Amino acid sequence: MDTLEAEGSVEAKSRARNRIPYIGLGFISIFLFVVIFGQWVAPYDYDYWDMANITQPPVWLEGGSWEHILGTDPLGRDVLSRIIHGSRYSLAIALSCIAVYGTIGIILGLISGFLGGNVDMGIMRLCDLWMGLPPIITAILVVSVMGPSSLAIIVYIGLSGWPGYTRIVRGETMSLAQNDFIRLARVAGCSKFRIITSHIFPNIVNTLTILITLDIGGLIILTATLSFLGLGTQPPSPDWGLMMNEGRQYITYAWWLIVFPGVAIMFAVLGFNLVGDWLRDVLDPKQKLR
Amino acid sequence: MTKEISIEVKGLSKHFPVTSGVIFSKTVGVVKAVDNISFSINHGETLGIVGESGCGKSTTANLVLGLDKPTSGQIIVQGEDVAKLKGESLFKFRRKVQAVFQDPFRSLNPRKKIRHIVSEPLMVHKVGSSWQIKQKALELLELVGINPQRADLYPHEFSGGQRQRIAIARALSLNPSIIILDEPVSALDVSIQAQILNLLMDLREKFSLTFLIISHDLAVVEHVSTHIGVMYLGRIVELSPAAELYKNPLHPYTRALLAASPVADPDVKLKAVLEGEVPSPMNPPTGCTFHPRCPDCKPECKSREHKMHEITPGHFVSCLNFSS
Ligand SMILES: Nc1ncnc2c1ncn2[C@@H]1O[C@H](COP(=O)(O)OP(=O)(O)OP(=O)(O)O)[C@@H](O)[C@H]1O
Ligand SMILES: [Mg+2]
Repeated sequence: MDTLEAEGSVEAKSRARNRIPYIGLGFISIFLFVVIFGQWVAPYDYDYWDMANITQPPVWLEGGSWEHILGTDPLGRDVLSRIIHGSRYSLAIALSCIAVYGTIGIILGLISGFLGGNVDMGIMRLCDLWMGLPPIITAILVVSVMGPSSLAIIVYIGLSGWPGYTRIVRGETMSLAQNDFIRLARVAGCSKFRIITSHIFPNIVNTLTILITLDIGGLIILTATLSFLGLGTQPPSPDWGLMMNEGRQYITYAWWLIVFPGVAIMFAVLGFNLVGDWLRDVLDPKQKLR
Repeated sequence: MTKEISIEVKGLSKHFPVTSGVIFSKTVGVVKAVDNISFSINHGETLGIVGESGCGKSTTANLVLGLDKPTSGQIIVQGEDVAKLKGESLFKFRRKVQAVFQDPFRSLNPRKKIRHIVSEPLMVHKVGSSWQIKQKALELLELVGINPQRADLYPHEFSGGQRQRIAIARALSLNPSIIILDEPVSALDVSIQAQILNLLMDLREKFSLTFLIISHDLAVVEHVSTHIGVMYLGRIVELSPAAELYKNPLHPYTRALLAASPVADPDVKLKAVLEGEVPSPMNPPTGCTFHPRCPDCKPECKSREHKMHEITPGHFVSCLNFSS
């Protein structure tokens, strides 16, 4: 039985390996390239006002020019440059959120799953409670205390996103703790701390990699949404959500202001999701997650 | 051979509560996984414990290893009461008693090189410098028949038998005097089983080790043990020097096990020899717990519990047919 299962998973694994998501990897590569080298490849600064060319359409439309490939906004700012600079905001905010709630979630999940008993019950009840908080209301609450800013978004998402991680890490920890190598670690005299850090954690890294990759896409959307609603990043930052918000009022005659940042979000999210799905197949062929 | 007692177990019981209900869980019964068992193992001897699945063998191993606390009774290992150990004294106890478990695919951390797996106990107990520990790990691998040049590979690159050798190397690393072997070969091919058992016997000789070996297969235990205990539903029903047990098995359950033994999968044959299934340990039969399946069952067996009786020196049995 065991060997059958193992063979099945090996097969699934190699099948998944052969189906490398070149498109997803391509989107992510472009995204990361732009994040890292954006400063040098962007034709303009994100806050450079070219007052001679305001609300210029993209190059392929009448009135467009090669100077502003994706057009300009009513202040004469180059849309392409703003999108390129904005990629850094998207990724930085998404990663900061993950860093905060991932750390909280993983630590609580490891503790909960390994110690069990009352500690586990306490942490699980806290998770339930936390997940019961109404998201938009808490977001508005945090923003009204801190004022709308990227930091407020990071604080809000960072403090609200951890229960999902805690649950998954707890489950993985509990099933790992059944393994004989954990019993043998105790027989060898390993401390609880050592067992958690050196035996359990390395075995959940795959799961975490998948989770984080899949989360980045969702976070890019979520943070863009919050900025779009005016709760997050403030002008003149080239945040994609904020750009869409600003472009909203011109949608009838300058559609490029809202469409191009939207397309950027879409491709970035698609890239992370495609690669995340593939990673899940390769690293976790039994599809334990989701 | 000195007659120094290495492990002494007195009236050991472990009862697990059985709960039902998700929110207001309440205890609806207990599983008597281990129920008032006693045995002792002298230094250098090997006690084999046999019994069907679920009879409490692994629970016994966990208790002796100090991984679980007994409900009642005592485990004295080299003069120390295991259940009372904690902190520093438990840590010191770990150096004396090591273990090898059944499934070689689950007993090695898949994320660690085997060099680290073997040397981890040495690092935890800070035995020697890091260079010495490294050398010791290579020596240990060599000792159990693993090419030390493969020390930087991960467990999945080894076969089941090789992994079990690696697990044995790790168990030996702290120079323990006692090793608890819980089904050490039952996950392996029959051809490999003998190799591993021979290795264990060589090592026992070389390091004058004391073994407690657990198996559902009498044939496995037969090879290695000096003494054998037969377990049924949490109790030891017969305990004897190995040769005596094979020559003169007394308990009907032991006889059934012996009759079923020389085949590949004893569980299968046992069904042919014995009627019925193992009763639930949550709701064991009254009197002698074996009576529903016993070919020699008498009316009193259903009501009267019996104690172990010493029939010949060292040969104990718990059966009405043999009590005076
Ligand atoms: N943690 C636990 N909680 C509740 N019941 C348990 C627990 N551990 C073991 N049991 C029960 O105790 C009984 C004995 O289990 P144990 O694992 O010791 O059997 P075993 O003889 O090792 O069997 P196997 O050959 O299947 O390994 C079983 O009925 C089992 O369901
Ligand atoms: Mg067992």
